[in-house]
Amino acid sequence: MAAIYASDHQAASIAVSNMVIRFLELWIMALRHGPCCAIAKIMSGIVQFENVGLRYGTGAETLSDISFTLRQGGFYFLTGPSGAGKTSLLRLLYLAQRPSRGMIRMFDQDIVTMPRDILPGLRRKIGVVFQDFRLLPHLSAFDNVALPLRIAGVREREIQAPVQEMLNWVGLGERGAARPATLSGGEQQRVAIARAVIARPEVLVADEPTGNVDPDMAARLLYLFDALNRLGTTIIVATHDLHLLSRITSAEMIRIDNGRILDPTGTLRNPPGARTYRPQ
Amino acid sequence: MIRWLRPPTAERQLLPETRLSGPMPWMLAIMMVMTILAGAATLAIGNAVVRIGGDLERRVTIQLIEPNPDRLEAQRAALIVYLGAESAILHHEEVGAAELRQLLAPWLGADVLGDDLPVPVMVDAELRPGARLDVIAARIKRVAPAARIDNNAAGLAPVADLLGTIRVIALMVMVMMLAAIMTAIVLAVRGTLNTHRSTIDVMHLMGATDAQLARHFQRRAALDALFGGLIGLAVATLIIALLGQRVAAMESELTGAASLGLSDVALLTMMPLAAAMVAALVARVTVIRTLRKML
Ligand SMILES: Nc1ncnc2c1ncn2[C@@H]1O[C@H](COP(=O)(O)OP(=O)(O)OP(=O)(O)O)[C@@H](O)[C@H]1O
Ligand SMILES: [Mg+2]
Repeated sequence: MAAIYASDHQAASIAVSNMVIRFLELWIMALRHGPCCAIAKIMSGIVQFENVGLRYGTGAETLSDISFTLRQGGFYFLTGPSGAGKTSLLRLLYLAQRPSRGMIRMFDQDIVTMPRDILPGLRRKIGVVFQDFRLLPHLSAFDNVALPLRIAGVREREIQAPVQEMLNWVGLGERGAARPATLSGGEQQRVAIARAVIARPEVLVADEPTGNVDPDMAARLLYLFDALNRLGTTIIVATHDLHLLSRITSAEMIRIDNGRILDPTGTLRNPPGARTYRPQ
Repeated sequence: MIRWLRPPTAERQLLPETRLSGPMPWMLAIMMVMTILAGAATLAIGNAVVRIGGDLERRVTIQLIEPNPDRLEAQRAALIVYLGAESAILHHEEVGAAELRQLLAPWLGADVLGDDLPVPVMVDAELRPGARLDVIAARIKRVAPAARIDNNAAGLAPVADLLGTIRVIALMVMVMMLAAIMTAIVLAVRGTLNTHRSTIDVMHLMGATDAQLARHFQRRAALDALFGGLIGLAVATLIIALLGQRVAAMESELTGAASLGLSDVALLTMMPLAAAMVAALVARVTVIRTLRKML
């Protein structure tokens, strides 16, 4: 793992400087508005949902009364039975959908009322592993992974090495030239994961990211998420796989069923040794 | 321009490069042939109309018809003096008696035209541009009451009218072809947007801006239009050259008037480039308007 992010001095220094800047921000805020305000900012989190409802078309609500806050730098698992609304919730998170009601704040922006033209800027801070991968069929695995960097306008010579390194990490170093159609399901999923994390997003949203790989690879991919998390990325992973939950001891768990967060009054059940998660 | 048409790899990687494939450029080529031909017709006929309205209109023929030879001679002399003095007359030239006889012989028969048959006096004159024919005519009548003034273009007036109408029609055809080209581009762009809908969705979700996506489509449309335009220009040039040969062979003053000047040729040559630019603009507007409806 060290090879991917830590050996990259730039990455480490960026992470450190980000932390310093954030600390200075909070410090200035504390001086200006008093410590309560600074603490409120820390507590307010990077993502806030309040009484969010989502309805597709005219049917019943797919999601109802969803309220929670994601801390910056947190690691969250989203679980629940098939059809519970996990993907729908994640779609709201990666800004593919506006809610039918309620309030969502991300990156200190009101997502419900924001103008459309600030969307690209916000989306570039979010990495997504789609449940159905959604690799671009006309691009090679390499170009698929490079896509977020190219969209962000990163220069070509700064793209080659990191993308190759990322492909090596997910075990596809030799398959960079392959089109998605010629890759197995698990291989496609790994390309999708590489694509989601390549630009070091502030928030990573992964929908069943290990559904198609063997347990060893699943552990390896989870390690990748964990490394990213240590660099400050907030991570939310939807999964059925209970083994995964026990691997990240610091992770918190959000359970939904039938479009609602379970245990809305009490403490959510967490993996052994983890902190407790309290919905707002 | 070159840089714009050949963007960095990063930009080209975004969507599948499908330009110069499929029927689109060829359809544009066909439409461009029509457009350029209509444009050439508009310009050439315009030139003819101007020529008739200018050159021919300024040339008048003055005839003196007077049975009395003495009075005829007196008026002829007065007319020549007047024409020489009038500043609105650029130059004038009397048609000699021998030439006149030659002109008349086929009509009257050479034997009839003895020396005793009075032959009218004819003077060709050219007016200064902008001179008013009616004013000059009135003055000529004063010095030579027997004068009959023929405006050469008067006979050509219906022809000029007809040409004017044809010119308007050619212009309309050109405008309609341009509209058809733009519509074709709009439809093609919409089709491509639909085909790549899922790709566009994914790219949007990765933070691609509408402008980034639009750039790709507008470049593609511009290249298609440029390609079609150049092919169209080549074919149209061939047709015009062929037509020009035929017209030259006719050696007619009227058809000769309908020629293309250097500036006209330059204008027609610019059409593929203009088409490419318009195509890019149309594509951009279409894409941005479609994308704006997505989240
Ligand atoms: N685009 C859509 N239009 C209409 N209904 C939808 C749409 N997407 C999802 N749904 C419905 O919303 C409900 C929740 O779907 P969702 O995909 O969020 O479930 P999920 O928890 O991700 O399930 P799984 O574990 O099988 O992926 C389902 O009943 C589904 O039929
Ligand atoms: Mg799902």
